Amino acid sequence: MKRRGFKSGITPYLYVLPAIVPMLVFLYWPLIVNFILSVLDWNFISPTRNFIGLKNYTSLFQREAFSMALINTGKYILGLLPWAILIPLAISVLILTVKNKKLRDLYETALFIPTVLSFSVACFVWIWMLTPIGGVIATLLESVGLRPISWLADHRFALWAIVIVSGWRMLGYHELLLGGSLKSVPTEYIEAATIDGASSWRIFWSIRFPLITPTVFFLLVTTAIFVSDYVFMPIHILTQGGPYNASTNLIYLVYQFAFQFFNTGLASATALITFLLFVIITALVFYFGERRVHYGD
Amino acid sequence: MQDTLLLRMRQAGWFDLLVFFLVLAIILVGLGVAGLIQYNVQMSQMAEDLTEFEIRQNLGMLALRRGSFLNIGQIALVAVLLGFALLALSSYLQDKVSLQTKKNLGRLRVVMQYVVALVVTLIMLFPIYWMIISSLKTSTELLYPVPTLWPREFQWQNFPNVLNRAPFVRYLFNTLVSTFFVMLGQVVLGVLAAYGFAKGKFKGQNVLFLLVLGALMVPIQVTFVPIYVMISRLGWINSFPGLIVPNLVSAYFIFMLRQAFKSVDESYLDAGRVDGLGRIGLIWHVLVPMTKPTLITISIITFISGWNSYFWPKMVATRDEFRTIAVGVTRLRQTFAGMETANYNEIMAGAVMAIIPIVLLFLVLQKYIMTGMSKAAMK
Repeated sequence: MKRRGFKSGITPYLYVLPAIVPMLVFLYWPLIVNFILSVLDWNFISPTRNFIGLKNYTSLFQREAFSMALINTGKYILGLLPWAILIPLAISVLILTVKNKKLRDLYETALFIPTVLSFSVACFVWIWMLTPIGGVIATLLESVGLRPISWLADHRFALWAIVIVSGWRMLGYHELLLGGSLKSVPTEYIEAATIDGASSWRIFWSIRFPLITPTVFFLLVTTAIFVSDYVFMPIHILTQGGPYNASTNLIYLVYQFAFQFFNTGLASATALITFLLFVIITALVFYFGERRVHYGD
Repeated sequence: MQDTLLLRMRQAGWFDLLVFFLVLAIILVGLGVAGLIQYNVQMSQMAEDLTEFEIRQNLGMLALRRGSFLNIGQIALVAVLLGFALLALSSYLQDKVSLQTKKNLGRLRVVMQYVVALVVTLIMLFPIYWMIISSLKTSTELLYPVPTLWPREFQWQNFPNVLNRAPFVRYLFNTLVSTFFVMLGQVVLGVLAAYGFAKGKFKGQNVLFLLVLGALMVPIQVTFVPIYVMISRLGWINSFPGLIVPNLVSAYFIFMLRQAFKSVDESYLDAGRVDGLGRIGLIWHVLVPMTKPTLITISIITFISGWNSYFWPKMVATRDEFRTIAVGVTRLRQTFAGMETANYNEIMAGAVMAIIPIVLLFLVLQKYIMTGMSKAAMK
């Protein structure tokens, strides 16, 4: 029997286009419209939209909120990298040698539960825990002799509180991915190295880690791109970007410009800059990261 | 003797790490000393009648950081030297202790492993415990200066109270409906597109697939202003189509499923064709059963992320009739505004009700999710 038609003709398009068309309508077209909106002065409802050229962009660069958001976007990415890779990696190495499989699965399930919860719900739990008076974390700090911190109202700590909340949720998912790829390292390699007298530390760095670099690299890329999106919800619920923009980031700024100031021009300009920034970050990560990745067979 | 000891220490592996930290500590100490010298030089150049505030202003960063690098560096240096000493001791004792002691040490290590794992789990799950416990406390108990780990008095009344204040059942219904249709769309369109991309060969395939890959990279916040304008022109603000239609296609779904479909060998499809299956028949009777674990895993993930999605529902649904549960919970705080600290028990009760369905679903389907995810990681 021949594979009639599927290699050519219009049939394959019938399968692909129902998915591609909505994607064009709800993703790529908006991306273009976004660019158009960014050179207009508009507020969602006014019948007139004036062309103002690059004024939105120049006005952006003069705003302190924008430069704060730009710096904070970087801080969020750097702050969450340990939560995205180092800590989950340490945890999955920790339980790698536990022989009881049921126990291991139970452990991974427990760590995964924060990821399953609605993030908005989890954020409320954290607000309650972070309350400076009567909150459980403040009490804990006090019991070891530290001054209670009003995490969400202090410009030095607001951003890091959000990093902790986001990291708490991210951890289990990344642990699962890293653990999965660690388990897939062939045991023969490890046995051979053990017979040769290599310490477990050396085995990890010389055998296990090189073999899981694809997963680590994948997590590095996704963290760099998605963190800004990921922290939107905690920013929105915990601090609203404050105090004094100390915890805002670019994506939250887009939201603020659009739905608090009703300025579509500034919102679109910020969105476009954010998008370009993502593209640059991805390109950089690929450029510097990929040559270190060992793809197996 | 000295040589072999050094050799042994290097074999232990910790050696490299310790050297790394040693370098780090030395750099810190160097920075600290440099900072201190600069601080003293600048202080000596300043006029004597300056106030504390002016001095600080002139010094800028130096005033804040004076000596702190030095302190951290010193602590790190001591820790690293201690580490080296321990390492030397253990390497020295390595073949002097009996086999029995070694065995015991191994056992101790396993015990430590379990203890650390347990502590990590407890920390990770504490917020959930705290949510449940707080949802059962009375308002008075919430105000205790030292929080209680177990409610003195169980106040089940919090749950009916929340149901009276916000239409939680309605929220649940909305979430179920919109999540169901979003998932339906993503599965049907995703399966078709994945089949086209995995098994078809047509002009422009690579370009179209690049569109899918690119879509993975664009978060909704970058494009939502135009989408919002579009949806409001269509009159879909505060409606189910508004909640559902923009999310009907998932690039992630197509991408993952295409990989799975690709791994199905062509000969199975040929066998299906011999049996007289059409294309839809091939998908339904050959590809879907053969990739079932992946399909189920991605569907569950789609369902969970749809259930928890916050940004778009918040934009589109501004009235209670269409709010989803993830957004609805945030309403609890606003509804009870004015007595913020006193009503966390009710917010927590709402939170518990919001997560029960999704956590139950997760626990029931947990096997699929966990194995599917680790498999995805192996690829």
